Amino acid sequence: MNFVLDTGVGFWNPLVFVAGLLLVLLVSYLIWSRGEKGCQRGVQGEAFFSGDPAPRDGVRAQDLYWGFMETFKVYYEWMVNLHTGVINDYVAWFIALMAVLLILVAL
Amino acid sequence: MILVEHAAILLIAFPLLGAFITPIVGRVNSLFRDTWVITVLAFTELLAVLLGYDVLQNGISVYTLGARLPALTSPSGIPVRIILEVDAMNAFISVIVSSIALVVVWYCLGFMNQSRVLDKLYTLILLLLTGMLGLTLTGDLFNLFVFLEVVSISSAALIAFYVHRGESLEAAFKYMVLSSIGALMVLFAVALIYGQYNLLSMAAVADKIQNTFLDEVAMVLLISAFLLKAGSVPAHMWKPDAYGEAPAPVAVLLLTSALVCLYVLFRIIFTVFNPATPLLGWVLAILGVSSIFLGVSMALIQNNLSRLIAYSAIAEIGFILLGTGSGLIEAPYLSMVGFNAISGGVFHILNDVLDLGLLFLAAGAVFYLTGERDLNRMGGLGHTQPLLAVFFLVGIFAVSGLPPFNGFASKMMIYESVYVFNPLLAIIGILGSILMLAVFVKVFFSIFLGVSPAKGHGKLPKSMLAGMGVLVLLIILIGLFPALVVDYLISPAVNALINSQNYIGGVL
Repeated sequence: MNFVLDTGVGFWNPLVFVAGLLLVLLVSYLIWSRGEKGCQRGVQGEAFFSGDPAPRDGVRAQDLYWGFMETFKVYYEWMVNLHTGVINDYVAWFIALMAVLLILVAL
Repeated sequence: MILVEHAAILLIAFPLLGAFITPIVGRVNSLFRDTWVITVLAFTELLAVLLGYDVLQNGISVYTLGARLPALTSPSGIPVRIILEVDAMNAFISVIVSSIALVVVWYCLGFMNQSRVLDKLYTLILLLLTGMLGLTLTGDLFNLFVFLEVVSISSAALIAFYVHRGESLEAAFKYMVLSSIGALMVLFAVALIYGQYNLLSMAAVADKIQNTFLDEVAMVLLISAFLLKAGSVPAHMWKPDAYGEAPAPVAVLLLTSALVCLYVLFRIIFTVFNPATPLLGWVLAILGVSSIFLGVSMALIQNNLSRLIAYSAIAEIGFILLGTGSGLIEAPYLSMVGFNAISGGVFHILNDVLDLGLLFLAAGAVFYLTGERDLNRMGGLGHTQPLLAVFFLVGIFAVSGLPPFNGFASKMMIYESVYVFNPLLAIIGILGSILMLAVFVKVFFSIFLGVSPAKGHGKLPKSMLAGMGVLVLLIILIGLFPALVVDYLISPAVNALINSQNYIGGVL
C-alpha cells in the first residue's frame, strides 16, 4: 500500500509528519517537566491589553481583527453595500455573470 | 447480483419511495418512523457502495429505463429511452451524497427531538436525497432539469423549516426565485440542444456535438445555472441567507447539493461539450480565486455563526473551481500537472463536505446548547463542552488546510499544480487559506474560550455526538492516508471525468 501522496511536483507523507509532531510534543513535555515546581496559578500577571485594563467579560467577536477591518474599510464598505439582500440585485448579478460568460465564450 | 444490476435505479427509487411512505409510518409512532428513515438511508448507502465497487471492478454501468434488458441502450442506433450512466466519477459522488444524508439524519434524531413536524423534515430530506442522486446518476439532459427541480423545491421547503421566523421564509423565497431562474436557463439550454440534434442523452449529444454558436450559448446557460446553484461569485449571494436560516443539518445537505451541482458542471464541461476550451478553464480559475477572496474576507466580518460558515463555504467552492479550472487550462489529457490539479479539485469536493459539514453540525450543537447564533453573545463553552470544542477544532484545522488533516492534502495538490502554470493564483489561494484560519480562530475564541457562563449548559444527545464523531473520524483517516484515497477513489474518478470517449462508448 502507498502511504506517500505524489502531487506531481512534490510529495506528502502524513505519517512522517505525525511522527515528527509526536517527537516535538515529547521534547516539549520533557522541557516543561523540568520547569519550576513551585510556580502557582494566577501569579503570571494581568494580560497585556494595549495598556488598557482587560475587559472582565473578554473581547467580543465583533472587536476581533478591528485593525484589519479598519485598514480595509473602503473595501468592506464597498462589499457590504454590494450585498444588499435584495433579490432583484441577486438576479442582476446572475444575469451579469451569464452576459460576461456569453461574451467571453460564445462571441 | 440482481441488486447490483438494478442499483442505479434503486438508488433513486428507494429514497423516493421512502419519502412518500415516511408520513404514513410517522402516524404509527416516532420510534418506528425514525427506524424506517434510518433503514432507508442505510440501504441507499449500501446500494451506493455496491454500485461504486461494481463500477471500479467492471467499468461503466448503464441502466436503461423501460428496456427489456438494462444494457439495451440504443436498439436502433439512437438512445431514445431514459438512461442512467454510472462511471467512477458519479459513483464517487453518489457515495458521498448518501453517506452525508445518513450522518445528517442520525444527527437530527437528537437535534430535532423536540420538533413536532419531523415527518415533514424527513420526507423533504429523502426527496432532496432523491434529487441529488438523480442529478448525479442521470445520463439524460431533460432528467437533469427534472432532478434539479426536485432538489430546488425540497431545498426551499427545508430552508423555510423554521416557518415562524420571517427571515427563514425570506431566505427560502430568494432561493426559490434564483433556483427557478437557473432551472429555466437549464431548460432553455436543453431545448437549444434538442432542437439541433434531436437528442437528450448526454453521451449521444457528446458524440454529435459540433460546437456551433447555439451549442456555445447552451453551454454558457448551463454553466451559469450550475455556478449559481453551486454558489460561486458573483452568484453567491443567496448562500449566506439560505445557510444562515436553515437548521444546521439542513445546511449540510444544502452544501452537499451545491457540490453535486459542481459535479454536474464538470460533467457538462468535460463530457457533453468536450473538448472545452482553455478559455473556459481561465474563467473557472478566476471565478475560483474571486470566490476564495470574497468568501474569506466577508466571513471575517460576520458575527452570525451560520452566515460566517456560509461565506467560508463560498471560499471552499472557490478552491474546487481553481483546481479544476487550472487543470482544464493545462489540458489534463496530456499533462500530469493538469491531471493533478483536477484531482485536487475533485478530492476537495470530498474534503469540503466533511470539513464544512462538521463545522455546520458543531454550529448546530452550539445553537442546541445556547440558543444563540450571535458570536458576540457566546463564550466559555469549552469549560463545559470539551468534546464539542475538540470536534470544532478538528473542523477548523481541516477546513483551513492544516496538516495532517484531510483539507491539507487536497489543497496541497491544488496549490502545487496551480503554482506551476500561474504562481499568482496559487498565492491568492494560499492567502485565502491563511485568512480562513484567522476567521475560525475568531470563531473558536468567541465560542469556546473566555469566561465560563454563569448558567450551565445541558448535555448534547448521543446521536449528535455520534454524527459529528463519524465526520471527525473520516477527516483524520483521510488526512493520515490521503494517498490511498487518491489512488483508489480520486484518480479513477478523474480518469472517468476527463475521458469522455469512455462515457460515450457506454451508451453508443
